[in-house]
Amino acid sequence: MEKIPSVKTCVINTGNILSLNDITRKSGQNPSEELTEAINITIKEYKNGSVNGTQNSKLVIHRPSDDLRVKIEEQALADLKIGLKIFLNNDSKGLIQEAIEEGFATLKVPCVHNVVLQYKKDKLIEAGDDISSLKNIWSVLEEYVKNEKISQIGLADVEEATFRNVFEWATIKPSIIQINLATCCVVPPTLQSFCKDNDVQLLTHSDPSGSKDAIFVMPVDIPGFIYAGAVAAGGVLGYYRAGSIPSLAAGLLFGSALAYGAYQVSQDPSNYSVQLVTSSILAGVMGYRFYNSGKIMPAGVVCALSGVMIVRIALKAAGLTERKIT
Amino acid sequence: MGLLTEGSPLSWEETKNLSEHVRQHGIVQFINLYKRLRDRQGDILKWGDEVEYIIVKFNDERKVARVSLRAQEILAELNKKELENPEGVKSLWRPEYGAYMIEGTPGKPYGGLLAHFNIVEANMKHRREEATQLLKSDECLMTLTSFPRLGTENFTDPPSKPTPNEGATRSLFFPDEAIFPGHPRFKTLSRNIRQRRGEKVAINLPIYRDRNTKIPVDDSYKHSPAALPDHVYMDAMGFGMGCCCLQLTFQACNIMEARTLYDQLTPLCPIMLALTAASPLHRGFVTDVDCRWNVISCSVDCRTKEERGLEPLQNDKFVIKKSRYDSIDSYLSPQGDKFNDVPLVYDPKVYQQLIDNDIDHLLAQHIAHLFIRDSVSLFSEKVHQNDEEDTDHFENIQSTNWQTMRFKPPPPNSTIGWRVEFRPCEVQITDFENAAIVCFVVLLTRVILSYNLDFLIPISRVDENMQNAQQRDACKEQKFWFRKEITTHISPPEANECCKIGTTNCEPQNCEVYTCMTVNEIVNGKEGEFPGLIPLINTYLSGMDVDADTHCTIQQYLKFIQRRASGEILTTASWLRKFVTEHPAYKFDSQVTEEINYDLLKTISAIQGGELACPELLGYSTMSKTKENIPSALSKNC
Repeated sequence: MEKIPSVKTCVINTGNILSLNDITRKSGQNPSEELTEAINITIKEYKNGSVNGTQNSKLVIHRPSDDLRVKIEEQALADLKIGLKIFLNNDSKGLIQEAIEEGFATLKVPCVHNVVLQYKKDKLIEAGDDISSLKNIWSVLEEYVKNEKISQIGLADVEEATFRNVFEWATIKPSIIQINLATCCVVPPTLQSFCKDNDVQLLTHSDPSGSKDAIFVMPVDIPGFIYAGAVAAGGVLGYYRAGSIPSLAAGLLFGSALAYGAYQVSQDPSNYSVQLVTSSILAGVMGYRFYNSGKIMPAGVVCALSGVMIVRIALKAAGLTERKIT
Repeated sequence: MGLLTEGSPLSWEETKNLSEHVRQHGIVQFINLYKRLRDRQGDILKWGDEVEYIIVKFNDERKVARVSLRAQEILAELNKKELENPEGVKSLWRPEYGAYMIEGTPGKPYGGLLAHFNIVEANMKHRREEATQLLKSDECLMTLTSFPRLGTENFTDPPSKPTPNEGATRSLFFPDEAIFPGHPRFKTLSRNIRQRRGEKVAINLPIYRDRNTKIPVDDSYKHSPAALPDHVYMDAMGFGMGCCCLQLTFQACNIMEARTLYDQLTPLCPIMLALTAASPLHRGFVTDVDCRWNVISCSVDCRTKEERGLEPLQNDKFVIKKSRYDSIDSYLSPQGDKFNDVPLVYDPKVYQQLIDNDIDHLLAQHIAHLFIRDSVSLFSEKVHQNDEEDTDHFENIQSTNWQTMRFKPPPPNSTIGWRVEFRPCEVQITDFENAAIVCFVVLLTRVILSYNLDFLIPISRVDENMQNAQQRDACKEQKFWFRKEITTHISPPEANECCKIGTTNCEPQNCEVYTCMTVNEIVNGKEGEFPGLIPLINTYLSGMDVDADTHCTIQQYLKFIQRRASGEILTTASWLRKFVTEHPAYKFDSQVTEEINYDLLKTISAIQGGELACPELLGYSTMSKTKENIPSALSKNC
């Protein structure tokens, strides 16, 4: 990728994954694994083929052997029911427009049957649904419906109250609500009857819900674990050298809290609260002790380590909110 | 059970003399309909199920259960609604072979929406209730593959006696009164099959050997030379055609898709037979097999001694390997061609006639092979037909070839397209189970077409699987030939070669395309080797717009099938066997006594009605979200 320095946007088009035998063979993977694999295959095939996909600083990575277009052309367009699902974690109007236009361009169709939107900001920053942002994006979708480019629009993974709120407010009502497959047998009766009364389709999906970052298989948070180990080892060392039981206890306590935090981050990168809080306490306490005693070991070192950790978490959090997936 | 032409049946002698006439005109009729309909396109997926029921009568005082011979009476009532309003009824009812049987289908076929999966069970429930309303309080409508004491003394109500020396069947056990009297077809078939064969049909099922089991099983061997002493011997068409099954018909979008589905579902027939096994009890005995298949196969085996290869050919034309009720003998799609490793018997003149009329090799040999059979039921009114329009002679032969799959051309002057019928499944006790199986198979067809999957293995291996599938506890114990690499039609050349050469030297290690798998591995997958049918269905569904209730229902069905396949819960056959052999009155003698039979059927009646939970058979979650109609938000968008 270093060959193309002018790239600002990168679109990965996996194409028709129904005809990827490697994926069919591994049926039973969850959609995140499936998507990761499809992306890997796409990048690999793209690298192997000599395709130049850069246009106006946009790089389109696709599979040369993709048969999506061929498959679509086998049918009359009127017989096809095309649906798009857009995952957003940013309420920029430009972004959703870009996603829809990219969808039309990829499929080479003038319009689609439905678009379902899954919008959720990062968990840490906003608990619950961000209704005003949602409405902001919704107005873009409504424009597309008015221009007859989309016939039905819907929402995925929103709380019932949010859905009702958007439904009451919207000019073009959502006609689809998508819920996670895992909950399809326990749909609240109030939502059931709301959908029935308003002719809303209550559909299922098996896409990752909540934080969209779960789509990516995150690497284990190795620095986090090393940091946890260092704090615990420091405590043990203090006990061994000076017989300090408080040192041992504090080392093991903070060490385990940090290890647990690192484990959480490895599972879900947006779940860094334990790690952040523990690091901050350590940085504070040890910083105070370093200020009083002037001792580099252990107070100064632990304080510095914790400071580095806090900066690292902050940088990662910022990165998370910028990532988008369409 | 096939074509129900009304009229006056001809005697066997007359039918036999006209058999060449029927064949000749049947072939011409097929050629004409093929020319008319070969290019028919654009039909949409429609499908339907057929469930067969038995009417059981309980006598609670004497603790006995019999089959009630009131089907004709009840059917007349059931059909009234249809006559008044043929388009508006929710269910259709048809006669079946037994005078104690009825067959029910949905009033209209289901369509291509996924939401249709959610109305199947509700419709089955509706059918059960509709027919049950017409029963007396001591009668019960049951979906039993085989009535456990069929053919024992006084198994019917009202009582009837077998007539070994006269009548249509001449059985030692099965009276003619137990054959549906409302239509001449059934008795005529029984008589003609017996007369064509030159003797009574013979069914011998190995007895399940328990510690007090007596050998010989009974004194049948004294009365009939065909009876094997250590087998349960049966001698009537009714033992087979008196069984109930669960069948499915799909409409394909065109003839090619129908041929693909016919082929791709063929290797699944034995697997589904093993998974749905439900008939270990026959003529009051516990047998050592779990399925009805061979019983029916033998019960309508009209082949003469010459045709069976027991005597040199003098009067007959061919030695024929199978009964007219058996697994299919050849694939129909181009990719199936290389797996047609069983030599097909047919009249070369008939084959040539089809080829000369622009019918391709695969279809021509299939039709010619079906037409090696004689008509076994002919009506005087239907002898002379207009071959340009009628298809009765073609249907006459086609509908008496009862095979695992049936390839069905569109009927004349109708809106119906090319169809495929899936026929191996045994019927289960509850509507939940039957709906689960039906939805599973229909979902498989969608997955096969969407992913372009290829399940084909040599036809001889499918035949082997059919026999293994019927073994006791086959679902858990047996291994089946199954294709490993299902994702592509391109198989390694050496594998193709290997499969072409033949069946004897084709060990799994030499042959890359298929291997041995258990039902569990086929259904649930095998790590690193085979994805599994249910994971494939789930992947397919994750890409579809499925409404919440339907998806909930489908998940219940799929989980149930997964548990059956994995052995976590029992197959119907294993459960029936267990019930009998653990019954306090069981004497370890392989006998299903009146008392055990009564208790068994009472228990089944409570399970099907939902009054009794049976987790070892059904698991713990048997509540689907099935409903009568499709929500309007969904039906609008099709």
